[in-house]
Amino acid sequence: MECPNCRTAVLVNDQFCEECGTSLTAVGCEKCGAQPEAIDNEGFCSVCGFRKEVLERLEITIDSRLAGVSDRGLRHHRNEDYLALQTVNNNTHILIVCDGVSSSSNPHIAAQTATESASTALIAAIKQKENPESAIKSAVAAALSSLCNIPCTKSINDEPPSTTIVAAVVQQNTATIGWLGDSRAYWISDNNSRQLTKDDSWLSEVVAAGEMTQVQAKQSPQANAITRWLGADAIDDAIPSIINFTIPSSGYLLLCSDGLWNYAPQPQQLANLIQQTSHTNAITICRSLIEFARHSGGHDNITVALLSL
Amino acid sequence: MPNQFKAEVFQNQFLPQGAREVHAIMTVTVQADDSLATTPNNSRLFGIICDTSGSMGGKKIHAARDAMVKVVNLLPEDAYFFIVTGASKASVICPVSKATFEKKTWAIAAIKEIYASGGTLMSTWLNEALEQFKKMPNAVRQALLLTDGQNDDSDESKLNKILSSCEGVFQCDCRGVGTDWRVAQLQKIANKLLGTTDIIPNAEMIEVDFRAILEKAMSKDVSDVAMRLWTPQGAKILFCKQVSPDIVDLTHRAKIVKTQVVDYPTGAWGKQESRDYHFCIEVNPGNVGDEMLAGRASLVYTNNGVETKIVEARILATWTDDDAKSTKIDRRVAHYTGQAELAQSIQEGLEARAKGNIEIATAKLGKAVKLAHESGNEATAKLLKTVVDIEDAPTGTVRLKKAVAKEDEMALETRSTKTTRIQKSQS
Ligand SMILES: [Zn+2]
Ligand SMILES: [Zn+2]
Repeated sequence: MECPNCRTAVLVNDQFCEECGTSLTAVGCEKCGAQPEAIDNEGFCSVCGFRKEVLERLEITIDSRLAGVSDRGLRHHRNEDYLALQTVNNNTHILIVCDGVSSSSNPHIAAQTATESASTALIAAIKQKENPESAIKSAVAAALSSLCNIPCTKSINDEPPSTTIVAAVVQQNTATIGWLGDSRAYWISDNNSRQLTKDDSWLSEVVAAGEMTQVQAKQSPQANAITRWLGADAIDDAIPSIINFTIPSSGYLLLCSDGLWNYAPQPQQLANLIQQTSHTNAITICRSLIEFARHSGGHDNITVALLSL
Repeated sequence: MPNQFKAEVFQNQFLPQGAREVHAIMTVTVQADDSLATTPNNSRLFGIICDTSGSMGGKKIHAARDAMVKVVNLLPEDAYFFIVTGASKASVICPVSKATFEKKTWAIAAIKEIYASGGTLMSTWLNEALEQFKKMPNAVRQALLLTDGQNDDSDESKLNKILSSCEGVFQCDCRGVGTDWRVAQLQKIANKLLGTTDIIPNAEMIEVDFRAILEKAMSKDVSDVAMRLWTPQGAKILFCKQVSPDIVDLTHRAKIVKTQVVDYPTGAWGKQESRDYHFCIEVNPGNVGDEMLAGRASLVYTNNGVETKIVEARILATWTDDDAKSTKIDRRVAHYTGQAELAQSIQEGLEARAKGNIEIATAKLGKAVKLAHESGNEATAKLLKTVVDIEDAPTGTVRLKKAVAKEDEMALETRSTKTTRIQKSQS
């Protein structure tokens, strides 16, 4: 028997996977107690009709340095973000954040599927000593192929399940980051904070081309449109952008969905927020960033992954 | 054949905290696909049931004879038919036969021998028809019943009993010629047997109407279709109505299949047919953020004891604290709620008018005029004009007409359940 999440061997009676913490006891309906068989493919209980309780919040703590939180926010009825974290061979850290494209069908399943399959592929590649850049590329390819396998029952007019993805591999003093879409990676340190990724978005493209100012572009109805994503309708444009960043000093690598950075787009704003927490524990910092986004309106799902270096 | 059917659900799935009522409109459309021929084992059996009581004498029986001859001539050669005539007793003047040239000639000769005499005991007519239909249990089984009068009061309990035996065995459209028949009586038969009711004011119009009924009957190629509705445990189906092309309350027709699953018989379906259904389900309310499958509606047909699911659609509910979402009412749900209100206002208005309660009648029929105007139901608006003088349609300001032809009043009563559809372009 193996863990459905990380494929580590587990014992039949284990409640949790010792490697990744995934619960191994299949859960039926939380509302009426029906058996797991009663839950249909889309999560609806065939007895009481309720869909399996939507996760309000997903928290992952690997250790005091690596942690992450994904929160539903205040406005959306479910969380369409997802994240995965892992430390491999004691010295390589993996962080992945996905944000399901809300106009596509089943974005929550897209984000979760992409995250999980990218994470599995990335761990396997790192264990086989693949270099981080090609490991990320093959992880994104693996995520795409599992997205394409999500059974789609909706009409052909619907966009297939799609998601953004940002994935980081940190080895020694280099962070290799790959992304598609507008989920971001930041380097946060006392005096040297910066945004590491460039959004694949309409807004950042017109601003970069000098066609509009940031302020003008923000007022456009297309302001939130992304130009690249992971999904069956974008197979020809699924090679992630990659950056290799040399870690200059101590600081934090922060990955997040737009549910956070919309309220604090500037690296310095994020740096200030982290400073204000006066905590150094990764999970505590993540929670306070989530709280900040919720207090600012919480209009979108919010996901934060943080590695302290 | 199954993939010819399409189903779409229109609803507002967002509910405020504590809300329990879920409304959904399901549109089922059969798309004509010429590459799919009619299944050969689905032969069609059409029965004609004609009143030959004494009151039919003269013009009416002549017109009925002529119309029946025309219908027999129009029958496709691969169809089957029979003719039952009825008064105090019923006679099978032509038993189930294939519509060959020889059999048609034979039947027409028999029709010409029909004469009118005797009373009206409809239970005997339906009983003979039932025996004929039982001969071809796998055919698409439809009948047409023509009468001009009222069933004898002594026949009431026998009629109820035979109707229960006929239910599910065949469908029957009912037509009343003239104005001496009772709308409620024919509607009871038609509703039980999944058919329509209408008035044929003049005998000369029988033929046109018969042709239309035959044409519709011959277009049906899937028989014994049921609307199957699954609902969550603890849910209650407040109503299930067909709302287009006309309003038929199916709620009381529910047959329990198993726990949480009921069937509503919908009869036979023809090519290019489209019907709308309105479901209202009361569920256990969820918390804000909860999602629920409040219903799963499918069409199921049974042939030779084998059940086939033709099409399925889901009715969802999501509880939210976002008022902008939960206060929105789906246009189609609103439209058909209005059409049901229109039909009800007409029924109540005509009842009040019959009792001489002018004030209520004016108010109800005025409201009906307003609703018909707003929803663009021109056919009903036109019928209303025969009963009231309209001063201002948008506000429903009307005056009752002093003299109203009986046939106009009956036409309004029988046709008040005809609905109009929401225009596609408005979406
Ligand atoms: Zn595991
Ligand atoms: Zn349940």
